[in-house]
Amino acid sequence: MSGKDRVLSLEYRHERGMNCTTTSMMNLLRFHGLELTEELCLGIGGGLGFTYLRGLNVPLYLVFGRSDDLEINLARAVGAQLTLCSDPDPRIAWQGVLDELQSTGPVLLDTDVSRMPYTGRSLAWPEIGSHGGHKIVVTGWNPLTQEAEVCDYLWPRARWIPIGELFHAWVSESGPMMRTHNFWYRLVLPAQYPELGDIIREGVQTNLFRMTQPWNKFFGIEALKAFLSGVTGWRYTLPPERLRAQAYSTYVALEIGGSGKGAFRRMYARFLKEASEVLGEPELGALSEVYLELARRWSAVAELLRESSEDSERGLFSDDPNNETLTRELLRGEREALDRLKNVAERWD
Amino acid sequence: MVLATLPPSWNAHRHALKVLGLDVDAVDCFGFGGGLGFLYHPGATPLFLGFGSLDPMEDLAITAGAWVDQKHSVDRHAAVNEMRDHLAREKTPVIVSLSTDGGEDEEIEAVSSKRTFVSVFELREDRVSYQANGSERELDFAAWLARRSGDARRWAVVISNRRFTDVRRRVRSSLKRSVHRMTAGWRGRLGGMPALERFFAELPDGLDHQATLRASTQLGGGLGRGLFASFLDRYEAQLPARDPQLAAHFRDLDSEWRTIEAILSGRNRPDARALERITRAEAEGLERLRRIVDARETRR
Repeated sequence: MSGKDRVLSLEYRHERGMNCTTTSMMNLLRFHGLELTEELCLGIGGGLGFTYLRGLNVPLYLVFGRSDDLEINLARAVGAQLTLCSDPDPRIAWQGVLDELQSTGPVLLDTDVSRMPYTGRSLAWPEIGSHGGHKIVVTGWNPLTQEAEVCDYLWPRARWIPIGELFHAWVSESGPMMRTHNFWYRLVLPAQYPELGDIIREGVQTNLFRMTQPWNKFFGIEALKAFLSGVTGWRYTLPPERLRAQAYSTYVALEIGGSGKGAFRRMYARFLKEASEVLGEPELGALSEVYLELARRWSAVAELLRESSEDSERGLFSDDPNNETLTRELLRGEREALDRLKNVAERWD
Repeated sequence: MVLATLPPSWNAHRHALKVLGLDVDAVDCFGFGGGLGFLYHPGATPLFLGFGSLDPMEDLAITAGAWVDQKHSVDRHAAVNEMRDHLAREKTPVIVSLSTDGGEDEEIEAVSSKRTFVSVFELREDRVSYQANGSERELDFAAWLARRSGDARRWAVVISNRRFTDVRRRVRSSLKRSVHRMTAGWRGRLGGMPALERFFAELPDGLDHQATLRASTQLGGGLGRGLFASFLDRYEAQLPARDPQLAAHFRDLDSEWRTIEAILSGRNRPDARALERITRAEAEGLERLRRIVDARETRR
């Protein structure tokens, strides 16, 4: 059998997780000798955030409990370099993936979650929630059967899938959200990693800046404020047929679609607990409890949205004044928690 | 200020950052862009000697609190349309690569490829206006399109809300990153002190000295150590600990590197003792920097 016909399957330990990006990065970095929990990946990668904007070409809102580029932020913080690559021809792009697979190791790809085999079905992923930022890891290739070995965060183990199915999921232009067109990532690692404490501090400080000084009003604290101030008013601004669909997709994004529940705040609470132990910072441990409570409130908002998705006059869109109290108090709690986190981070300089 | 001695992409990003409200010069580009370091591609032609960073402008932008958004359009026509949308909506430039025209761009040719990076601020149907190395230029649209080099689907923008990181944070973050990279290097490629030692070990084996020189002088000569000395002087107040002679140390290193450059330009072989001296001085500089970045805040 020639080299070109040889089946390649890396000795890669795949663990399921709560979110596609943090799970993929956790497993990828472990392969390369750095053990980080999924929660550490989230916190170091700047996972405390918020996104609220209109989808591409679709009159619906993208609501997401964190901001973007977690994989790149995480790579930087651990001293690595992650670069987005692509080619309009999937065969050429795939050759790039294979080159990376052979030279470096497992390869991170962007796919459309609603088109991923098994994942799209198991999540009952809503069409309007289709997006091209779903991360998977390629760990093998069988040139004889033309199948790729793929790890997806929800799958209990790696799966071999026909390359045609992967190519189908590798393009996302019809959904309202992020686009992907044969996107994959090239990874360059440091010969040795920085100290974990330095990694965590770098991650937290970068995250805080992005959260409090976002690029624009669609991210960070600005987005949080816009969403929590405006969501109960969707019943007045969205047509009835879209209102329920919007409520459902937002519920999925906040609670069950890879956020670890509670708009990523539950995961972030666990990150803070770990960070507190690594850094010897008791205040981070105290903040862990604060974020856990914020997570509970986000889950409450998500549950109300789920009710609204079944009946647009119930749940968050009912006339219950407690709804506005909930969202108002949630915004206040988020701001206070951020201030406390900033106070801790400022001591590090 | 025209930074003809820095890589073209640095000037393109400088222009974009300036539009966003952050004015950086060569010293800032080098220091915040992770320039202090060493990268060596053995056997590459022409020889590539590099900076401490694999993407200095990404480092510069992120350290300052901005972001370089690398765009991958579906095809070159979509790229043009999307760039026009961006220019109209955001009023900030787009960064693209162009093949060099063999004329006035020749002096700013990138070391390892026949292309340069420019900052486009107007993309009309008939003409394109852009900034290249400090001067504004115009090209007929068709001519500009024909010069789009590399992957013509690709373009980049610098994103920021015009608020930037605290200077102290920026200085410490970039120094810490530089120290780590110079110490650790990169897997699968030669960086940092290991790269330096290998480069010197291989230097006598008939490398293309002119290419070596070109790479080194791209940083204004002295492998940028003089720039770094200026960076330390400029931000001395933001450092967590003092080392009053460290900038002078890097100025001496700058002189040592220039001596090597002069020897190479005469197609002579550098003295082994000179190479050992540089290696020791680089290691000492690195160690003193590490003590600074690892120090807890002692000055207010």
